[in-house]
Amino acid sequence: MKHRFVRSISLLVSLLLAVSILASCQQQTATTPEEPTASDESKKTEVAETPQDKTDSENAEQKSEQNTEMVKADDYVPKVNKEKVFRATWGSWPKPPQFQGNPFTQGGVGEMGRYVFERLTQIVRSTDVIHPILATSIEHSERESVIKLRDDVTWNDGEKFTADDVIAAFYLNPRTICNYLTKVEKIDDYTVKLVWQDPPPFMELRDLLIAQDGTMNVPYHIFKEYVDKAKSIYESARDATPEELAVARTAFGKKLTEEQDKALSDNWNEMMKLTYPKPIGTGPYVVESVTASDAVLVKRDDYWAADQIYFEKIHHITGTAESMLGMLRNGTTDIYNGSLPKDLAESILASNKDIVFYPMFDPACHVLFFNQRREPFNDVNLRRALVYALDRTKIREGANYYGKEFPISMVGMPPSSLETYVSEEMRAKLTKYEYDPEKAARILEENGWKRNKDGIWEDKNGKTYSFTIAVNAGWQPAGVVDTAASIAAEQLTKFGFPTQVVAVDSSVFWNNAAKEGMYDMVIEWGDITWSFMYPWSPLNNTFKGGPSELMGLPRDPETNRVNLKVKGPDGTEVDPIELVDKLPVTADEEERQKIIDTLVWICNEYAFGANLYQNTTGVWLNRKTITGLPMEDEIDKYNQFMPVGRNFEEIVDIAELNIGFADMYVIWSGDLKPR
Amino acid sequence: MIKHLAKRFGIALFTLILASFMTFLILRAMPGDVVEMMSRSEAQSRGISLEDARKIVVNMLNYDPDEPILRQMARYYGGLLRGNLGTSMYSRTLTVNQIIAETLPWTLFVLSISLILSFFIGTRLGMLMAWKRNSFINPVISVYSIITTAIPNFIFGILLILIFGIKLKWFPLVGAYSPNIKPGFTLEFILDVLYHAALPILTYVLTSVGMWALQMRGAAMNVLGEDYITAARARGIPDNLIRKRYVKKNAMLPMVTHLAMSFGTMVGGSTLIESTFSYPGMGAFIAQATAQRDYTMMQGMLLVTSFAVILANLIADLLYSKLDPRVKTEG
Repeated sequence: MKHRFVRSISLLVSLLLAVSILASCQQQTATTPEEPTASDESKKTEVAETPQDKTDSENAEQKSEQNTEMVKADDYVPKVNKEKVFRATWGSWPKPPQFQGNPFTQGGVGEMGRYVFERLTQIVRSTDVIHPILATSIEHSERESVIKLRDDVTWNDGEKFTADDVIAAFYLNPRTICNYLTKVEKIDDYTVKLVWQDPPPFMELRDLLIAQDGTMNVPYHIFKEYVDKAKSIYESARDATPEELAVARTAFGKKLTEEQDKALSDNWNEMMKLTYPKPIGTGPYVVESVTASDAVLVKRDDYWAADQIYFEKIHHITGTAESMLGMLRNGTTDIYNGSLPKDLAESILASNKDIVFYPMFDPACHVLFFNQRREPFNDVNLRRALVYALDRTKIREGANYYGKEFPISMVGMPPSSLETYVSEEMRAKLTKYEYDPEKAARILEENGWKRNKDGIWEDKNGKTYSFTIAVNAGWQPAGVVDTAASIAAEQLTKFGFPTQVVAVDSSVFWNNAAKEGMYDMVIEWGDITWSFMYPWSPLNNTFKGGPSELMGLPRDPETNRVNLKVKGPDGTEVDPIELVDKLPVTADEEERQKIIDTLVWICNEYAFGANLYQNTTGVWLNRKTITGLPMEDEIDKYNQFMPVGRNFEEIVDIAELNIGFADMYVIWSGDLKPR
Repeated sequence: MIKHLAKRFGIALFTLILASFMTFLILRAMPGDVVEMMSRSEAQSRGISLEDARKIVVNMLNYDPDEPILRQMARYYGGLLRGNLGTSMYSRTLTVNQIIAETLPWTLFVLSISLILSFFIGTRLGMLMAWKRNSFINPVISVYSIITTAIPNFIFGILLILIFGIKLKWFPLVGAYSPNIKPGFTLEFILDVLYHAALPILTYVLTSVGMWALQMRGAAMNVLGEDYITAARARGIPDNLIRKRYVKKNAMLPMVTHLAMSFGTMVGGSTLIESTFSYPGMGAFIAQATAQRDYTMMQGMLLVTSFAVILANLIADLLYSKLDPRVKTEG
C-alpha cells in the first residue's frame, strides 16, 4: 500500500514536470501590427508625416483592420473598479528594513517618490511640454525668474508648504540649474526669485532647466539644520572667476575652498543619517505599507487637488522581469512601461484582450561607438566606411523590431528631432549613410586599404585587424544590444573585418569601456536626451558625458576636459566643447541655430559612431479596470496595438502615460480614472 | 572525549577565521568600481554631468575607496570582536546585524520547510528505487532526478509562476505576505504567509527532492550488498523488516549528516529562488548586495553563512559518531 503511495507521488511529480515544460512551451498566436506608426514626437512640427511615416501608418492600420476579427469589440466586457485601486508594476525600492523616508539616501524611496513627491512643474519627456504643479507661474526678466507657488499646499505631515521648502532644495541638493544661478531668494512665503549668472540662459531654456531638475522642494522643517549649514557655506564662498567657470561651472558660481568643500560633504553625510519611516511629500498619496514586493499608498483627503485624483489607493508591485510580465499577461496590473520583443508583445496582446499597448518614440538610440583611442578607429575614413558597411535595417529587425533606423552616422541628438531643431539647409548638407558595402569598400581603397586573398582588409602598411564589440552584460531587457552586436559583428566580419562580441559584466563595463577604453567598439545609449528635447541636453551629453568617453575623444590630461578641435561645415576650426558651453547662454536665436547645426554636422561627418536605430518604447495599460485612455474608442479598431500619436496632442497624451516620461502626471491630472 | 571536542572546536574556529579572512580579501579583489557604477546611474537619472554625479556618489556611499586595506581590515575585525558586522554602504543607520535579523527568519522559514519536505520525500523515493531497482520506478525517478538536478532552480520557479501564478492564478507571483494584512501572530497572517510561501517551497522541493533520492538510492544500494542483509534473508526475516530495520536505518546515516550540513548552507538562502519570488530572505539580500558591490553587507552575510555551515558541519561530525557506534571518537 505504501509502495503504491510513494509510486503515485513519483508519477505525479514527473507528470507535473512534464506539464510545466509543455505549458511553458505553449505557443501563443498573435495578430498585431508589425510596426508602430511613426511620427515625430517633436513639439514644433505639427506631425508632418514623412512619406515613410505615412506608409508605416497606413500599413499598421491595414494590418489592424485585417486582424480585428481576432478580438471583437463585443468580446470586451469591462469590470467596475469599485475599490478605485491603481495597480502599477514597474521599478523598485529599497527592501525593508532598508526602506525609510529620507529620499537622499542611496536608493531613496524608489517608486514611492512618484506618488508622494511633487514637482514645481512637470516636464513630459520627448515633447518638452511643461505642466505647472506646485508653481502657479514663472516669470522671467533679464537676470531673474520669479516663481509663484500655490498657497494651499501642505506636506503629508500637516506642515504648510512655503517658499522656504523650495529654496531648501536648491541649497541642500544643487542640481544642474544651480550651475547657472548666483542665488535663490525668498520674496514672500509663496514667491521665490532665481537670480541667474551673467550671461544667463536664454528664456525658453530656463523653464526647461527648472522642470528638468526633479522635485526641487524638500520639507524645510525636517532638513532645516542641514539646509541652513549648506546655504551658509555657499554664501561664505568666493565667486569663481570667469576663467574658472569656463573650465567647469559650479553651483551658484562659487569656488569652494578645500575646507568649505569638506564642510559641505560632512553636512551631507550627517544629513544622510537622518531617517524617518515614511517619505514626506506634498503629493496626493501617502505610503501605507511597504514590503519587498508590494507597496500600498492611500489618497490624502487634505491634498490640494483631491477632487481631481480618482484613485483611492495605489498598489505598486515589483519583482523580476518575468513576474512583472506575468502580471501584465494575467491582468493583475494596470500599467507596465517599456517595449518588449515582437513575439512577446504579440503573445501578451493575443492572450489578454484587456491589455492595450501604446508605442512611443523614445528620444534614445542604440549607437555603435567607435573608440578613437584604438587604431584604426582614429581614421575618419575607416569610421565612415564602417557605417556604410552596416545593414542597419537587418540589425533593427533582429534586435529592436519596433525601432527605426535613420540614414546618418550619429548626430548627437535623437534623429527623430532633426527636423525640428536642425535647419533645412544643414539637413541637406548632412551625408546620407545608406547601407552600401561597395561604397564602403571604395572609401577604404581610396585611402590605401586593400583586401587580401582571404578577403580581409589590410591597411596601407599591410596590417590586418580583428575587432571587438563590447556590450554591457547586465543590459535590460536581455537580447537587445547583444543581438544588435552579434548582427553587426557578423556584417563587419563578412565585409572583411573579423569582429567578435564580448558581453562585459555590468560591474566593470563602464570602467573598461569608458575609463580604460579597452574595446574597439561599444554599443550603448547614444544620440539621447535624458531630460528635455532641446538639443543642448543631448549634445552636452554627447560631447561631455558618457558617449564622449566611449568615443575616446581626446582629453586634456590636467582637467580631463574633452580637447577636440575639428574643421566645421564652413572649413574653419571649431572647438565643440566651447560651442556646447556657449549654447545655453546664447541669447541670439540665429546664433544658437548655427551652433546646433555645426555640432550635429560634426557628429555626422566625423562618424564618431553608427546610430543603429532609435528606440521605440511604450506603455501597457489594462482597460478592464481603468478608463480615460487616449484613443479609447479606437482600441478594438487597432487590435490593442495603438498607433504612435497621429497629431501633437495625441503624442503628448501618449507620452504622459509613460511613468518614465512624465511620472504619474496622468493620475495627477485626473486623465486616468478607475473604471 | 574532551580532547576530541576541543580539537573539533579548534578546527571549526580556525576555519571560521580563515573564511572571514578569505571573504574579506576576495570581495575586495572582485572587479567592479562601485563609485563608477553608481555615478553613471545617478548622472542618467538626474540628468547631471558625470563629474557632479561622482561627487554626489562618493558622499552618498558609506565607503571610502581610498582607505588602505589594512585599516579596513582592522576596522572589520575590531567590529567583529564586538559582534558588529558593520554598516551597509548604502544605509548609514542600518547595521548588517539588523538586516540579517530581519531577513534570516524568512529564509529559515521557507527553506527549513522545503528541506524537511524534500528530505522526507527524497529519501523515501531513493529507498524505493534501491529496493525495486528492476521496476519502472527506478528509471522514471532517475530521469526526473537528473533533469531537476541539471536545470537551475530559478527556471523551475519561473515555470511554477507561469503555471500556478499566471495561468491558473492559484498563488501570488511575488512577496512574502499580502500588503493589506498586518504582520503579527494571527491566523490570518500565518495562513497568508504560508499561501505566499507555497511556490518558493514547491520550487525548492521539486528541484532538490531528486538529489536526496539519488543519494539515498546510492546509500541503500551499498547496504543491500552487505553480508548481513544476505544473512538476514537467509534467516527468513520478512522483507519489510529487512527494508526498514536493516537497510533504511543504515542507509540513513550518511543522509542525516548531509541533512545537518544542508541546514547550515540553508542560512545563506537560495539566492535565485528568493530573487525570483521577490522573497525578503537573506538570499535576495546577498544577491542585491553583490549587484551593488555593497562590500560590508556581503562580507557580513557571507560570514554568517560560513559560520552556519561550519557549525552544522561540527554538529554533523559529533552527531555521526553518536548515531553510528562503529565510528569511534579519537582519544
